[in-house]
Amino acid sequence: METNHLTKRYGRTAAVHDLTMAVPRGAVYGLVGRNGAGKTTLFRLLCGLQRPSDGGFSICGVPHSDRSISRARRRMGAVVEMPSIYLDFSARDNLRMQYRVLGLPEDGSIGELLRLVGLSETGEKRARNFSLGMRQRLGIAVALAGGPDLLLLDEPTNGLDPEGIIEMRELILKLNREKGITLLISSHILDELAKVSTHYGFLEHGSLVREMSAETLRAASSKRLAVTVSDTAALARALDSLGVRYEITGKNGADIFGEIGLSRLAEAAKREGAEIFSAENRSETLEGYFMDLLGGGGNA
Amino acid sequence: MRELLSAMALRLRRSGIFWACCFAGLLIAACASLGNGFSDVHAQEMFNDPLRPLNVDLLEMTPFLGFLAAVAVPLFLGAEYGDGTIRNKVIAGHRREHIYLANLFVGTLAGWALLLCALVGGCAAAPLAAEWALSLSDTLLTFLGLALSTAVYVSLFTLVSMLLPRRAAAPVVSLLLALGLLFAGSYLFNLLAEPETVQFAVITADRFTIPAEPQPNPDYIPPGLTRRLMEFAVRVLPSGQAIRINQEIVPTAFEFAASAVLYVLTAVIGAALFQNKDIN
Repeated sequence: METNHLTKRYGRTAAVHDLTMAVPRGAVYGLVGRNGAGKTTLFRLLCGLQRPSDGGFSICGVPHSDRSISRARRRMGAVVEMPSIYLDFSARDNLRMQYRVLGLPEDGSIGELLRLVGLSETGEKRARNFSLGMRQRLGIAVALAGGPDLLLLDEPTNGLDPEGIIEMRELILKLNREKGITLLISSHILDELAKVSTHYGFLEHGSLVREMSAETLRAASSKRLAVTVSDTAALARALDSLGVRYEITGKNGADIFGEIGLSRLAEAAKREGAEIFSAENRSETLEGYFMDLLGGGGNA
Repeated sequence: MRELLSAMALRLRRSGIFWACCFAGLLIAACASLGNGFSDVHAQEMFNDPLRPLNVDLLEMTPFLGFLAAVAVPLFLGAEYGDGTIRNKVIAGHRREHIYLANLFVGTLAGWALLLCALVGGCAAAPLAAEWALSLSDTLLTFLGLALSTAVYVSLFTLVSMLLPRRAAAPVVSLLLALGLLFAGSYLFNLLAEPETVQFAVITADRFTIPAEPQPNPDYIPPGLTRRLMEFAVRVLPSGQAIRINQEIVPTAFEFAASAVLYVLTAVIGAALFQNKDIN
């Protein structure tokens, strides 16, 4: 799936602006951005629910303006914002409906899908009486009907309890690893996203600020040592003499990047007249990277 | 398209709203018909009036069919937006005009089912009414006219429901539309029914009444363009057609053609507007 200078305007406001990105086959692509960054609008555009104001996108190599995009969409499933399910139907009947929509025979695969998402024991219980997590999983089962190659999940962990979040994570990994499904996922819970994503895209004001693989992010997010010292000026002199990259974070605090032995650091600091009170190893998280990239404030 | 029709038909069968509306139609028609039947029997006992034929009681509620459709169609289709399931159809690669038409066709089936329930309910007065007074051909033409005007109502309300995604707005707008159509239809029909002259009675001071000469009726619409246009409107509007049927005027090919044109026209406009509609 690729977008090419994709733009969606509502009046004068551009919800998605000149967005160019690519989701590689087999990837779990994590889309990161604040509220209103354009994540859901992007999903709506890709699903054909709304039309681009400018630019375009392609799914499985078929451009959105091509008449055969409808056929290409059959290879994709999506849950946008909330699960699209009939609340007065049972889980099985919801899948039966979607099978009819897709023109598929109602065979044993409905049972398989229910087992896959852990809803095979719900019987005739209506979706109205499901928990949020169960509805979310049913929404994914509906999206999986027809065996898509690409799955779009907009905030799949929204409102889930910790157990539900873990189940969702396991389901996403299972779909990617066992079924070979490519996933495009947006989530506010960045730590969760970091556990499943192989690629990331950072959205801000409808534009892609950065796109990178998980390996690149790991390399970019170097480890750091957070220290508190008696004199940061003296510590700075010591670190300069050692040729180590650092950042003074406060009156008595500093972050030191790269590998350095603690005794060697303490010795150098002592030579310059500084005493180290504490030192703690920290590694950069996706959240930290996001905050560094897009700045504080707002919600991820 | 076939897949969508099959899915919507399954949904209609399982729809609580649809069955509730069918039951309501049956009940309302039965109550209205029985009320008329008992009043006829009472009039016969008191004044020796003849009983009205069953077809009059049966068709008593035809002008109100629009209201049943105005409730059923937006609630049924509104759930597609409310539950977000309309998105599944777009994402599954169905063309938007097919989604619109599948909803319209299944909605029309639902409208005819409501009509059938109302007619069955109307039969409740059978023991209290005189024999059916319409010939077989007139009966068939009347039922066909009712079916087509119901389809036009469904098409109008489908258009409203598919273009107004807010679940609460569509039923309100549809009910107002049904009310407006009923008001327009009955107003025009009554104006056209005004006699050319009216006979006034003069009441004198000593309470003697003297029949006066017939006077020209100021509300009478004389033959001409205005009257032709009003007649055209009454025969084209679904509410006007339903009122005419209620007044035992058997519909003709003109009414059938008008309903067919209105049905197709609203379907084409609705499908075209739905093509470019943003869905959330």
